[in-house]
Amino acid sequence: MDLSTLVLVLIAVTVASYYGGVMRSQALAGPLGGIKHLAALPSYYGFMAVIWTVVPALILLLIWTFTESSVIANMVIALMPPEAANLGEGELSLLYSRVGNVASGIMEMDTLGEAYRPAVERLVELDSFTAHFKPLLVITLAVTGALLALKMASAKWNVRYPVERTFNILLFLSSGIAVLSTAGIIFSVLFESIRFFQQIPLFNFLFGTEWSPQIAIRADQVGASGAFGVVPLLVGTLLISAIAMLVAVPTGLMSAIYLAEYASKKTRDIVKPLLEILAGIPTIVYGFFAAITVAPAIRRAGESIGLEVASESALAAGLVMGVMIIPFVSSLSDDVITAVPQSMRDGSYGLGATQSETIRKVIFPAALPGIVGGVLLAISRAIGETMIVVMAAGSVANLSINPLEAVTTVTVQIVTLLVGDQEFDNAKTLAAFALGLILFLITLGLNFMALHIVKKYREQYD
Amino acid sequence: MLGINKMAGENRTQESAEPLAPVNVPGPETINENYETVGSPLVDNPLVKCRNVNVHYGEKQAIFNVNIDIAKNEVIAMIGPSGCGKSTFLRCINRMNDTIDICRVKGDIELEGQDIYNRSVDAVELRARVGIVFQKPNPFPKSIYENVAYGPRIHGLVNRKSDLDDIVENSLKRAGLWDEVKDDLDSSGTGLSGGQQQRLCIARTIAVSPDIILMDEPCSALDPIATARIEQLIADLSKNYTIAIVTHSMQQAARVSSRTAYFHLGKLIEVGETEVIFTRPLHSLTEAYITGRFG
Amino acid sequence: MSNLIREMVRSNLKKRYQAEQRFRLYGLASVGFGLLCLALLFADIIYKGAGAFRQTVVEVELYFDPEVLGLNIPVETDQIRSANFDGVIRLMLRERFPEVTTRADRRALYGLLSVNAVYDLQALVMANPKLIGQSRKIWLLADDDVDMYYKYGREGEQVGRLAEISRIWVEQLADDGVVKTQFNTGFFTNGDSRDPEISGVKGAVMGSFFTLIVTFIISFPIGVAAAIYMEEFAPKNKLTDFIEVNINNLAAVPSIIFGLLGLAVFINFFGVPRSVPLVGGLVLSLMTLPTVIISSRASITAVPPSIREAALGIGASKVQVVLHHVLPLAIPGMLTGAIIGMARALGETAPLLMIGMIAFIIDPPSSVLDPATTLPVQIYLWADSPERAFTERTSAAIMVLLAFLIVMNSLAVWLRRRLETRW
Repeated sequence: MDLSTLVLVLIAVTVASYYGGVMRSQALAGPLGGIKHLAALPSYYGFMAVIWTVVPALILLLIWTFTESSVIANMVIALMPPEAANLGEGELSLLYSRVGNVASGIMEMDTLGEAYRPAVERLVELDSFTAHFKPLLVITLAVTGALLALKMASAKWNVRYPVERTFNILLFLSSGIAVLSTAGIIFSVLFESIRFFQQIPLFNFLFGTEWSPQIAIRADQVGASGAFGVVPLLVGTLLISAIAMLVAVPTGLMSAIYLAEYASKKTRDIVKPLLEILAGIPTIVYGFFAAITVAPAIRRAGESIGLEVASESALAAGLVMGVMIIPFVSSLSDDVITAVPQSMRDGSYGLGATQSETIRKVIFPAALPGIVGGVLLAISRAIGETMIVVMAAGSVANLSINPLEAVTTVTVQIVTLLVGDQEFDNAKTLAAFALGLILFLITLGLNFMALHIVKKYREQYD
Repeated sequence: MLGINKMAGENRTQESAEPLAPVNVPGPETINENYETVGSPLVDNPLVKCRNVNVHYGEKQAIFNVNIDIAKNEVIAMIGPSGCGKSTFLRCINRMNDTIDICRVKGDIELEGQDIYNRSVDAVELRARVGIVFQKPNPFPKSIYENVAYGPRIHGLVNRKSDLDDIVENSLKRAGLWDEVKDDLDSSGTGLSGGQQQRLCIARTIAVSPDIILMDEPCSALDPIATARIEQLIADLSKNYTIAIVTHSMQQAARVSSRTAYFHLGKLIEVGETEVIFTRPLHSLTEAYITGRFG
Repeated sequence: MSNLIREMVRSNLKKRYQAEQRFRLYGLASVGFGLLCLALLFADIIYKGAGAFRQTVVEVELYFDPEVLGLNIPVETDQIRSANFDGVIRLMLRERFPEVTTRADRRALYGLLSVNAVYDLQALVMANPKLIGQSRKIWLLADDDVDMYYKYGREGEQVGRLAEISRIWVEQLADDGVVKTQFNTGFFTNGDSRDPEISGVKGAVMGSFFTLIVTFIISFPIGVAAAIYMEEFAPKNKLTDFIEVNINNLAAVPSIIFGLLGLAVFINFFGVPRSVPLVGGLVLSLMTLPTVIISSRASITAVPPSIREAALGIGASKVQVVLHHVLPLAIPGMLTGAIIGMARALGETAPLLMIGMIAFIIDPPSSVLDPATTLPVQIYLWADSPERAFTERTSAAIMVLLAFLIVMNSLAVWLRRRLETRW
């Protein structure tokens, strides 16, 4: 029985248990003279039965599914010849997958050697055991739970309380998922990073000015330096983000001001959604636009005035990223500008200020904290942006602040290191997680600051 | 001291052939499209002259055919139940209503003989001459100094820092705030108490030396002690400035103003010397209001 | 006001109004710049991609010679699979261009038609074995370089790498009136391919579809449940504050980090297979969860407290209040938020690269456990390919992606309008 059939059977049992519960409650209510003599509505008896059916069965199913592979692997590896125990982690998993292939008949026994026969036979045995017993046990548990709930049901017991309590717990667990994913992020990048720092010293990583993660496959390989200095990546990231901000902040801010203060309602109603389309376009589209259209155009323009421009210049990636961020800056600025109370404007106009004087000298300073918060969020977005730079920025780490040269960024390197084959005991792969850790910490810091500033700003005018 | 026409308006002069009605003759039923203000809305040599002023908010008409003069160096109070249009009318005098998109002002308003709604008149320049203080104190989120210096700065009135310092000091002194804030001019204007904030706003307004100061319920957000200080300040300022004050407090109008105008549902019902309005009102609506039958 | 001051104010007015004009102009220019970029982007994509919806085909008269095909008569069906259709095509081409004799030229000649034309012939003959021994006029797919040349190169545009001699042949065929462009149905019904002329977006669209289904099934219920808890049940304490801060921060975490999470947790720790829509959907659902929660909370707070009080006053339990009154009123807003979140997930690329959804997969997936790629990743893959024909297809795929996004966003707007608050 495969997983989807099992799930279907479970759903069927669940539905049956609901109606079972409802009918049971009506049977209880019958002799008493109607359901008003029950402690809870019939549907609650149904839900009670559902809870008893689903919860234990699901817990069992989840635990079994997530542990079965490692439990089976351990049992099988224990039966392997002694030389297998001396293998490294990577080789062992390779060997185990070969055992698996033999067990499922993809490979012949003799490719592995007779010494592995017990391990293979055990694997076959265990696989067939789980395939049969897991669904059987889960369904048995579900049915038992349902029957138990029906048996326990009584007219006096107010099942509304346990049902609603379960509902509450479910809601609480759902909101905990967000915390779990944060924890998941932290642990996943942290653990692999720690493994990385066991191979590459933290100091070299943070302050090294050279990045070339190609670890030598052979000792004499040319260019196999395996240097992991993050400085050029950070400089490249900052360079591209800075270009993006130079485009996005003035344009976004001025568009927001124009639309909020000058444009007629009709213009605003048309232009605002149009600008917001820019925010809805996937980054991959911007990346393609940057790589295929903008970068060659900049290169040609540079050549026509005698400048040498790399074909993957930081300028192209930064410009396009800036365009992407315009609506982000403008909608955040719009929020904070409109939050400045009308009385401020009145005070300024009342003194005879022109509209631009009012905006520049009263509204802008008053909205400044909110705008700063918005810009910080925008910077965090620029730093974490991936596809534009993957497609339009370079992948060679130049330590340069010349926008006409190719630079690389943290995100580009994460993608480069992780796309393709991955081996988890290799510094090259682990480096991606160390970069991820840095990226997460930087953006977390920026977001935290930005959200704090914006919150404080809102409180000021609420 | 002011040449107030006891018999205001040409039409009334014509009507004077009939026997002059005793107090309370025009009843509420006379408030129609062609209502004529009773009392003495017009003066000789007015600083501000308003004729046939009508104000619309979109479809809705807020002010109906108002005729009134404001004399130089008088304090005129505008009273009336809430929503009667007194604030709207006040805001017409320095074209603050321009900032509201749907608001349309018709009629003539002249400042020293010049129509302020004429194309050649600039709202920015006008507002430098006609200052306004709002209901709720609205200091800018800047330092006290910068609040007061804002007007002179944007209008380019000073070239030297020391001149600006003088203006700030004088304005704060005139607004009666100097002694309280002279040691921390750099602290934020929003950190002051409500009454202080309102005096700061007054100082901010007088820093550009306006001809006339409009005050839109300047004390409605303040406690009684702060209100008393503002009223004292209005009395002091009236020596040098013309002040038009909108207030919902009849006592305040009686205390600070020399003339009072009563608005009702967008119409100017009656204008007269404050003492007269509060003791012998001509119109029954005015009487009803000042005796507290509605408000 | 003294006349001196009045003069000073007046003298500065001109300068101030110039500054006003300048400022206004900056604003207008900024808005204009934004709109210009939008127009440029769309124009560029449409200009580059519109051609991909048309495809060059060549009409040839083929004689299905059993001898060349290597078939015996009567024909057995499984023989057709291994029949030499290539030979039939080559023979036809040699007969059409008898002057071509050298080995290299002949290879170029054979390259005029797509190497995949044989599969079309195979299918044709399989369906109708009587064709063997007969002649038939058939439109066959041209090679991608011929396609590029015929669509763009004839007007002098420098595209593709079609050799000079091949161009002459194409011109000769065109003069015979046997070359035309037709609507490119294959683009919508084929999976990915190494050959641009038969590559299509169906696999990617199906992959995106399955991924989004998983994303929606996971993120919508959990997001709504979390929002209900935060708004209706959560006590105000440190723990809920912490959850709240967490959600807000999670909303701003770069998407690529979620890819790392998916790789480390789902694939390496829980052993979910790589490259499948299931793992893609898991990752994207964690990514969209904050969006769903935030928009759901906004819809819940928009339900007026009076409705809750009314229900509580009748004696409904808190849970009943939420399920019977708050949720039905808030669900349209929640759905709107979820659709917008889905639209974002549909356009997401970076995290999917981390979890191996970047593999070259020809067959469209048929379940959430088949290896697949998604539309944005397909765009990424094609954008990286050197052939000019793939650039065209990349733009076309972008148009397909944008069309889906427009549909989803319009749906969200329509839903919001339609089910707007009724109280």
